Amino acid sequence: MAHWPAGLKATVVLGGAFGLWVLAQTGDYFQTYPGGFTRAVYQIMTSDLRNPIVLSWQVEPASQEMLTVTTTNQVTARREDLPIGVTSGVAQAQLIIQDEAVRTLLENRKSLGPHLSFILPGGARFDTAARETIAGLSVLCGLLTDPKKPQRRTLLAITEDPTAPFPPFIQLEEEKALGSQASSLELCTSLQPLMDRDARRFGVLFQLKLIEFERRD
Amino acid sequence: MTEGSSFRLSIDLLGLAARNLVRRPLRSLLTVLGIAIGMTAVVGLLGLTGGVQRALERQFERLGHDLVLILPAMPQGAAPAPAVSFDLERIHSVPGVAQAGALLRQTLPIVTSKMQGFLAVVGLSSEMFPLAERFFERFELAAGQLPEEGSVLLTQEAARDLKLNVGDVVSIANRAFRISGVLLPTGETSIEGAILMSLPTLWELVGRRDLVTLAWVVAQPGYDVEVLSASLQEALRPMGSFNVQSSRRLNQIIQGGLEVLRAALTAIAAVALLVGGLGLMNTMYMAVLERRREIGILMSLGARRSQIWVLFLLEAGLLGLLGGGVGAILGSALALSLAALIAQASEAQPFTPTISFSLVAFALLFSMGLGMLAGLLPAHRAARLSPVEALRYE
Repeated sequence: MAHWPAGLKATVVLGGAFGLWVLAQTGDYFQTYPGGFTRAVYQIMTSDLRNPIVLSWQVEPASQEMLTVTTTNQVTARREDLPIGVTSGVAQAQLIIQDEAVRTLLENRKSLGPHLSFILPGGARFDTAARETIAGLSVLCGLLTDPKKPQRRTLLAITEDPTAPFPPFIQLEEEKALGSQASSLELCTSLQPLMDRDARRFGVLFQLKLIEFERRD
Repeated sequence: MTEGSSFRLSIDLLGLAARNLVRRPLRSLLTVLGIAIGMTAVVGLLGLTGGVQRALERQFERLGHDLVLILPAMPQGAAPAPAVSFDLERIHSVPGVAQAGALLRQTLPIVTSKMQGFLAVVGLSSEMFPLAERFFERFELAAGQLPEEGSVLLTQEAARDLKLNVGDVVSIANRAFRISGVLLPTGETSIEGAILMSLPTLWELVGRRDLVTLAWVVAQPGYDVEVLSASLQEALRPMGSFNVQSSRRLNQIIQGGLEVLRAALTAIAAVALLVGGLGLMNTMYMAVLERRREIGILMSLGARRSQIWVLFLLEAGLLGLLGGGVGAILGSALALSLAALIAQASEAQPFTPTISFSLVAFALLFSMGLGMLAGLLPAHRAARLSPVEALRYE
């Protein structure tokens, strides 16, 4: 029987079928796509994997009516972690943006403004902070809370640019026991005062952030 | 042998079988657990799927069997039901249609004196209000009245979220509406939390006079609803892609799917039971081996082979019965917990699993039968022992 050294790792670059799956979930994206070239690279951190997943997304015109879409999903992880880890990152991002409250925010992104509080379907609430810039995109940072999931909160950066396939920043957090490491902010730092209103300690369950963005008309 | 002495013998054998089980408590407990695990799965899954089936039947009974539902064909990947262009007037002219109506669900910007946000707004056609109790679990006013022109109705959750009451004003998509009434909790995730208004008013707000998320048709009394369904499909073909299903057919499809799921889950649970049965057979073989001398003594004291056979069969049956009893209790708890978990996770309407007397009786009898079946061969081996050889055994 083959014995794998403990440190053996595998690098997987997935396209093809996995890319198609991602596309199937983003039907609305192409309905509103304005044309031109778009390249977005996201970094996804999940509790299932130690290393980040790098998701790249490229859309370019092929002819007048057609677009060529290339997606890659790259992760370096132990063999045993790969079957769950590879798919879970994008799947979790999809689950978050399919949530009714998040979907509502994305549909109404142009009506949002800084330092306001919005009520959302299901009693959820979105408290916005300031406008910031992530990978060159202007975003509005906010904190999403849902009374039906009181132990969780989502930090969200929303851009008005419809060519970004995912929000530029999503951080799903869950309440942790006192003494555990608390979450910290690298992006959307204007959210800190809003987060400090809650004295509880939160840990990061999932994070997606835009690390590169390129757009040409 | 008289009837009385035969009865006494049976009781004696049963007592002896029960005492034998207690003699090896840990082994008996593990064997019972083997059967109990399988039966927990069977009772839990049958109870759970039975509960889902009953809840669906109740919903379809409420909908009635004369209804045809029309839903826009879902594009791949579309999470919420899409709103599409639909000619309601055209439906009225289809033969067999007694009544037709539609609803539209949109998320719109809301502003009150206290807050702002985006909430679901559901527009109901006028035909839908008198039939609301067919479509929704509960549609009763807690206060006020149904909406008229320029007013809206709030579901209980929307009233709570917006902190509004009858007579207050809410701005929806930059137009002010008075709140005409507040509903009691509807128990329907499709509308609870939404603001309700007339469909033409919502059409005005979104600037499209033909959008719908769902349309429905009630068949004329005595008219074949499947024929009506086919006619509607034909009439709708030029308007786009729609799923047209009678409530009866929809019920059949869902129930059929549930039956398959139920059969598959029961088959999986049956494998666990089979493993439990094999464990029981092993226990009984061990018991025969260990109690050879005892069997020899019983035989030398006059016990017939058939009585030895019955004794071991009773022991196996008792183990099975105990496993079934424990399984029925654990299975009921499992079904109740899973039902609560599903209702919580999916925000669906809570449902009660069907743990009926017949299911518990089935669990007990089946486990006892399985136990006796697994005990057949060991009992046969015990009954065939030679008393002389059995007595020689140390």
